Amino acid sequence: MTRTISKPAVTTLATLIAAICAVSASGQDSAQSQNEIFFRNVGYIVGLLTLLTLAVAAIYGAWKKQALAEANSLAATRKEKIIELERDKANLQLKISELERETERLEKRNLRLQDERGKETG
Amino acid sequence: MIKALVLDDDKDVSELFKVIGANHRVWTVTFTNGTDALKFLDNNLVDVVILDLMMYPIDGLTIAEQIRLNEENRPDEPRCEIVFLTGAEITDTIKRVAERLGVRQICKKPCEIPNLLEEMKSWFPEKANVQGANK
Repeated sequence: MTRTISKPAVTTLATLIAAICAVSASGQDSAQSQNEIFFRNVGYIVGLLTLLTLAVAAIYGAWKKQALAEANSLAATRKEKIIELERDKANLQLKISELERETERLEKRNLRLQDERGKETG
Repeated sequence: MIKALVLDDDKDVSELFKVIGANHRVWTVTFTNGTDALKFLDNNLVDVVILDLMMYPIDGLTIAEQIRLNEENRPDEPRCEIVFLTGAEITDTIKRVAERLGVRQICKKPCEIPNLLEEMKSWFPEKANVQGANK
């Protein structure tokens, strides 16, 4: 079972590690052995890497947030356009139905007139 | 120069006609609203009216009917050619109405605007190559 670590926890942990590395690297003891120097330098590097990772994560997060907002905005615009087109189509359909009814009425009237003329001449 | 009125509620389409019309020496005025277009036609003559059918609140068929009705009331003025532009299916009813109203052409969207404009110029050969300013 995987466990998801929350963002604030990661940030706190990373800051703690960076702080520990910074403190360990700031030792004042003049009689430092090779090992102490080595670990101090490792502390510097780890601290710097942690800060760099945090910075990259922050930039990536901001970029991702903006991309998502743009995608949502585009989707909303498209949805609005589709609704408009549907409305226009429905309006045209209404007109077409009206014209078809009018055409039917005129055709029936023509047939009636033809019948009447036929009766008059016949 | 041939004068054309384009009525389409889609501003992008209207703008396209204006830009391409300028390149093809067709004087083009565009409207996105049927009422404004009809008001313009009350006081101005154009050679061609390009009408989008799917519009709201007044559809293109109603506008075309109104244009022909207005022309009947002004018999001294020349009749304009009408072109239907539509993204909807071209039903038999639309074809019958188009025939009754003397519509010159029905174009399905997306239409090749340069080709349409060149064809329009063939309807008015005496005006096709006359220079003029575009609005």
